[in-house]
Amino acid sequence: MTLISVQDLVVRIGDRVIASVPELDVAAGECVAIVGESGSGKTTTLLSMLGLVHGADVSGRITVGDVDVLTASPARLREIRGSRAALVMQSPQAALNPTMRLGTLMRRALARHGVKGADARERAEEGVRAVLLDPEILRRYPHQVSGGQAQRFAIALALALGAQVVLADEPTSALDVTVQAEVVAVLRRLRDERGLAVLLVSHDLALVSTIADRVVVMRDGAVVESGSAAEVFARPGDPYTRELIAAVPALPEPADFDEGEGP
Amino acid sequence: MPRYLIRRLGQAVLVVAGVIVLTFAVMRLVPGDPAVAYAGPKATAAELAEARRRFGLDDPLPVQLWNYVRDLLGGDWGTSLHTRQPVRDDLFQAFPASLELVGAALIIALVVGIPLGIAAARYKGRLPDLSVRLSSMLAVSVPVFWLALALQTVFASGLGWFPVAGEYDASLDRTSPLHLYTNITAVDALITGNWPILTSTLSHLVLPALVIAAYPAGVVAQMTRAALIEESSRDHARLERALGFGETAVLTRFALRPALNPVLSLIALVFAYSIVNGFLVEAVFNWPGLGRYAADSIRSLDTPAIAGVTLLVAVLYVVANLAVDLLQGVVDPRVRAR
Amino acid sequence: MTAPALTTLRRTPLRRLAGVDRLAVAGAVLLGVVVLAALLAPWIAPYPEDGGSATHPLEALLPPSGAHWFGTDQVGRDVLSRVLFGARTSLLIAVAVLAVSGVAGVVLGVVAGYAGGWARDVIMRVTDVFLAFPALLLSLALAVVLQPSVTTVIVAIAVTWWPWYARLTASVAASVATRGFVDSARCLGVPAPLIVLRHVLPNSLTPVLVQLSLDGGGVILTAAALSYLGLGAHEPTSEWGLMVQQGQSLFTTDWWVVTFPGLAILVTAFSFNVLGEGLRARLSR
Repeated sequence: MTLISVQDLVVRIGDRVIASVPELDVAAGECVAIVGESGSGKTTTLLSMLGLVHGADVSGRITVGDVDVLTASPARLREIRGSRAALVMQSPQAALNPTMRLGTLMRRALARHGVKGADARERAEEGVRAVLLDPEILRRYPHQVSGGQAQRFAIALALALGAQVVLADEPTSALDVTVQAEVVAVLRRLRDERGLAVLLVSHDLALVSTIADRVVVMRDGAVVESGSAAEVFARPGDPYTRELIAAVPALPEPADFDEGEGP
Repeated sequence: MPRYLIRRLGQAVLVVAGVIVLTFAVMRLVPGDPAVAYAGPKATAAELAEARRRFGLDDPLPVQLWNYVRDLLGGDWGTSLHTRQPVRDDLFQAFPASLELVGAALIIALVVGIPLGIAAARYKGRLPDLSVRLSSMLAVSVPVFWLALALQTVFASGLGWFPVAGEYDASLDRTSPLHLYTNITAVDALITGNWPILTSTLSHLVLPALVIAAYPAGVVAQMTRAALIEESSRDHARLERALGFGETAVLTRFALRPALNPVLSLIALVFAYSIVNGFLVEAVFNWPGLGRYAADSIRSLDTPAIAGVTLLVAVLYVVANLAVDLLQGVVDPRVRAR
Repeated sequence: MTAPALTTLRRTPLRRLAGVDRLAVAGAVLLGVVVLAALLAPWIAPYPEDGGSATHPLEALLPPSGAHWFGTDQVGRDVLSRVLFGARTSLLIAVAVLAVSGVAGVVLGVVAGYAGGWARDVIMRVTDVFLAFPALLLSLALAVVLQPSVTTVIVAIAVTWWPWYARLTASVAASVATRGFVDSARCLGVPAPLIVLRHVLPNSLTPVLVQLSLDGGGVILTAAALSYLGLGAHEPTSEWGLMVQQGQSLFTTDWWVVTFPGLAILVTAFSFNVLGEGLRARLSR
């Protein structure tokens, strides 16, 4: 089942094309990675899935579930944000409001999407447990949790809100290597067990190779290559992709990462 | 937290010590003979000598400073030249009325300033933003004594909507006498259920409080706007948008709390500034607070009284700053953890 | 991260630049008008001699008319002429205060920030003490013990104003002093005063200049307040605060005597604030 479908997406600021993606589909239980250096347009592409690109012209067609993002009303857009597709950001603690307990954020987000009371409490705890966190974490402030916990909490938010797609923007680049593995393991397990779809943006090919089913390589706002992860890594067609792969010291085998431990 | 607290307290004590020395320096090291001020311009040589002896003006300066500090700590703040009362008693009597006036002004400033700041941030770069910015700049640019005169002339003397001067209708003291607990008239009237005095005080408060509120309201609006814009461009605001919250919700339900932190830290500054602005406003409205006392003291070149007011307000300012620092721990959990 | 993603909620650079410039330009134009009025007062004032001690008892308290646009005061002087001459007094005070306290503050701040150590500690503790007095308060106390005059106003305000610039400069200088090029200059044996002059000072100057223009309004207001309280300018000097004080008992009957000098204070302080805000917004981008 296709959850996100993109056709002829072009993002412009003035005459400059920031990102141009002819075609991109993400199905349930699938992880698609957008790979490229910073400034290649990958974050912009990711944010346009939620209609969160401001100060730029976005054209083409983006469908999230049955909602046409570019023509939907602002109210409809706000409805699908979080509940259909949820964002996981790069810097774990900065992405959480410093003055708010994690549980408060969770409760408000659930209430925003119409889930309240005991139902909300249940969904919150269930979401937190699904990412191997102790529900006790809901009582903490962002500065009281580790980077890995914060990222897993962001994923828990997505699960509690019932999102079928996680849009992850460099979710591990601010974390230590062991903690990176934890977060990746959680994402992988949710993909396999629950059919969660992951649209991952990263410049870290080592990470991408451990989780992505398909890879889209972007450079200067344009897609230079795309295909199944195995294919792209084994036989990169574009010279730029070869450069990127060559720049990684040694690509670890997907089996190198184990399931992370609980909190 | 305790260590942080102790360091802050130590700093505050040091600053207060400096404030006392500086006040002493201003009052004693200036050209002119303080004895003349005490004894009066027409005093004879003998009277001058007597004044010098009585106030210890013949002692070396360090000794004078030591005596000054000793007297201050012992509760002797000198004797006012124009009321002939101990300065400390005068200040004690005048302060509650000032607190009432400035408190009312700050409440007005927060109630008006914060929503205006939110509106400006919400419509950044558009008409509401521009009008809030311009009017807050106007508010901080207006000379308070002139605004006081203008409002008094138009709304009190002219239209008669509000009383011209005073704290409440003095004839009420006979018909419904007020029992004092806090010495703040409005508060005492409220807790004792003295409605005639309460309503009379509130109607007397409106104009002077509005005048004093102009500056802090402008500052609070500008600061709220800036802090909200800063806060809503942070990563967490993007996550909140991605969770389905609209701009207004992001600003009021998420960005406002962290944004209030810099606004709060301004309140101490603004409080002290407002007390001093009261010097110019209370005299116009004949409000029986520190400001009127200061204005009377200035008119009669009453040095001990002015030194007392100066010292009191500076110390209040230091204490208010300290209180705000501690309060920030309540608003921002990150500070608490330090 | 890509550019448009970061600009969420902010406007596009071009429009922002234009918006900011409009504000700074508006402030500069307004302030320019006041400066021109001050400079040209002897030539553009309809009754130049009324800026001083002239009296016309028969023309006292005339309401605004073609002959006297702002009316006349209690001794028959043209209020417009006195407002124009008052601009000279106010701007003179503002320029003198900002120059004196700016230079003193920058020098002390550079010393504190560049030298560090005990010099920094002493200077910073002293500024702490001065900053514990709300600006008008210490000026008031000083002005009370000095003889009332324009010079007193300048001294009294400058004494309370310098610590702000010392603080600001010290923090900028401290951050500049740790930068690579200052280190390498030091290693090359460039004498300290030269390093300060060449590198630390120019970098500290921009924020101080912005602060100076923001503070101009505060100085104007404080000066007017001191004169209003009878601690500053006195007859026959044209000074706005003094004019308000002299006319305050006439407000209900002869509004123009008080209204126009008050508006002059408001407009001048406002122009400084608008200019300073515009500059600050531009600087902080």
